[in-house]
Amino acid sequence: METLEKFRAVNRNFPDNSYIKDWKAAGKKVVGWLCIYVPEEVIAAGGMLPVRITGTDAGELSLDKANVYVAESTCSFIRNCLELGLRGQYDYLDGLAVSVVCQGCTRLSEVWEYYITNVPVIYTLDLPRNITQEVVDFYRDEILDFKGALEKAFGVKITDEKLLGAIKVSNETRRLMKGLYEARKAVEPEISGAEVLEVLNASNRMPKVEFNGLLGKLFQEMKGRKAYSSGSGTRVMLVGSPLNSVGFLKDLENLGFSVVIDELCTGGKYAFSGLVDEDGKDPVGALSKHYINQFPCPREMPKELRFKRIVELAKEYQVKGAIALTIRYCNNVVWSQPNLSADLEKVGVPTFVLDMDYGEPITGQIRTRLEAFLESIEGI
Amino acid sequence: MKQDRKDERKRRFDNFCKSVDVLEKVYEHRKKNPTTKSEEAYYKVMLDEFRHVRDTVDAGKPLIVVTGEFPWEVLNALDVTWFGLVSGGGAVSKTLGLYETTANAASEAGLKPENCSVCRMMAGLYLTEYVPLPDVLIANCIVQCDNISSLGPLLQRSSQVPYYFLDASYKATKRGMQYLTGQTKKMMEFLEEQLGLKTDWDKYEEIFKISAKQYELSLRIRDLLKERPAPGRYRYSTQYHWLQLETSGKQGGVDYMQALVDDLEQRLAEKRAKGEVERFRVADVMLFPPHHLKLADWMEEHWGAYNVCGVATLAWGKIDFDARKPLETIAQKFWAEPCVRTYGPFMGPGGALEVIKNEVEESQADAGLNFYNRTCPIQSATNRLLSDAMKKELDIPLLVEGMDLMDLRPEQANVVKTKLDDFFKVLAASKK
Repeated sequence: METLEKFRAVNRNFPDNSYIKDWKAAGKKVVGWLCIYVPEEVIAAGGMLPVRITGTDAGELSLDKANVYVAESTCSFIRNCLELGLRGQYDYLDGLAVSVVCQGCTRLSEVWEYYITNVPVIYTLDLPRNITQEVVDFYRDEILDFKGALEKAFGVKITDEKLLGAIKVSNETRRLMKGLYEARKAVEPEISGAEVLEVLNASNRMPKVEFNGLLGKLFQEMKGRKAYSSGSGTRVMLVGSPLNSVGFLKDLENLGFSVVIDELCTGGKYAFSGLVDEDGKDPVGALSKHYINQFPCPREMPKELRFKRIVELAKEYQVKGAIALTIRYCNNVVWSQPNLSADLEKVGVPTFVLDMDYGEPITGQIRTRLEAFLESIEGI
Repeated sequence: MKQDRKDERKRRFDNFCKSVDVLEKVYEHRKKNPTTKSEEAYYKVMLDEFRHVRDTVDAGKPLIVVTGEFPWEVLNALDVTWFGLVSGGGAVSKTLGLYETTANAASEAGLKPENCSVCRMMAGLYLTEYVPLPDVLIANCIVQCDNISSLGPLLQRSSQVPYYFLDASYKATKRGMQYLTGQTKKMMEFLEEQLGLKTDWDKYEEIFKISAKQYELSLRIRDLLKERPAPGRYRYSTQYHWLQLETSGKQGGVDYMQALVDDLEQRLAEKRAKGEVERFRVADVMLFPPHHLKLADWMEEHWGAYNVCGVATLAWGKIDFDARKPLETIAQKFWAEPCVRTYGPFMGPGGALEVIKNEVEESQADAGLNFYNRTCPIQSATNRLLSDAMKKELDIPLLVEGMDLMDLRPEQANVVKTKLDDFFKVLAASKK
């Protein structure tokens, strides 16, 4: 698919790509964000390009620099992000916005501030854990402060009108993403899990307007296609920690799995979180309401809300099993997994818990264990 | 009550009583072999707390189990007994030697060795039924700690008891204070409804008098540690920390802290009279391993290295006790707590880095020790940053040592002892 190649080009050398280069060449600002509770619409409404901070998609990265500054008990996803920052590969950032979703994210911004001193604005959005109206109100004020900080730092005015415009663009992305996931419900999906991850990765690394245009084209190219030469593998869902490694998913699907659904923050959460209200009465309030009530991160309370939605997705997509990617030291995920596994088990979905590092490939023991899981759910 | 639940309650009670029995023996031993007033008071107050929990359960009165640190005066005003898993649970684990038992139980429950060992200890202790069955379980999220926040839901599902999650923000902003105040009020209402109790608002006058006295004594202890010659010992600030957590707003805490002040003043006077000067003034920037206090004794005896400040234990922020605004005061006290200040936001005004630098500078320390729990992502992410800042801004060397703070085994202490020895050798050489 021609359009998929374009998405691949966006990701190939990330954190670098032509969209970011062109944006900077035009004298415009780029603000990095981490993670899904940062309202990227505010950044976009300020005329800046929001870019999600991640590691590379290429797989395992040597963490020589990051390991000097933070210990191993900071998860490898965060250390990958820091590694790229320390190597200077995020030097184009004019700002960094972080929400306190986990200790890794929080501490990353602090270590970044001390050692990578060329980012003019580093902003931390505070966030309690409950999913309640009180927290929606709390976060609304946090977003207002964040907006104010961007306005002050970059000399811009982020009006309600501009916010509404950015919301509409991101909502269009959400609609298209939902469509991409809907396409995976088919018995013989038109697009594979690995290909979807390529699209998702690109979505956070280029202007959303262009992204939406490309994704629209991809839908045309997908029609009537079979993603898997065998028709379909064993339908599974992914849950757990962040994932950007396309190679990992390709290997997984080559083993005989069809990854038809996920709840990852780098994946389906964007598609399954609904839309931001577009009535324009209170765009900041609408953003807060959306972000607090989005598909919950494993940190959110009560944790059962996330479990319930995962179980619903597992049923809806008719999966035979779940693979839990638990990056070592991703504490919110690891602590939640026993109860989540139990809930999935109740609806007949066994879970395979895979301890791994961010970007780690499927080799040796991991491959053998996955093959054994595949055999067990297929009853071979 | 169903028979299964009755049986569980009894098993848990019997197990818990074993730790009370051990503490009784420890206290008797301490009385027969007196050391210092504060040491004796420490064991007495700890024992009294455990007895109180035991007697509460035995009498069929309600018990609340709490997962994390918080100014629990709010529970005193409800006149309800509570047991803290961090501090009290740590004592149970230590007295009964349950390190491996709790680690195995946590592992069987699906937790990984890389999850915080302190939280795994708490989980394991609860799951192996060494903690009395609570009538209500309260979980919280100190400085947005992912481990402790996640502990509550796991325990709640295992025991199916009424449960409340006390939420808080990360930063001590006005917004954060207001949010925490609201959350605390909701928690009180939940407890009133679950337990059929009523908060005695007038009681805050009396409770805050005790808390204010504890606060005053805490500041005095902090100041005394900074004196010359250094009268402090590592075991003082460590014991202070764990007992302080158990005795918010309780007279036992005052008794212990007063004894500690008396001991420090006496030691200071004696040292001055003898003209003693410590060889090394050492700042404790995080928490000394609580189960290896003999290491601290060795540092003092062998190297003449004395503790002149305990940042995570004694660096209290400002508190205005106001019984007319009890919940606001409690929120303020939460953010003023030394551990919260050092584990919370690191950079910026009022951040942990600033608190640590101020304390270390004021204490005129020659060096710092940073014992961190290897499985704590909050601490371990900033170790290098802290070392660099101490060296660059205060010209003070910092020994950074990762440990499992729950590991009772002596092998671990021996490894650390070797590193400490090397560190002091280098310090001694640089002092010449």
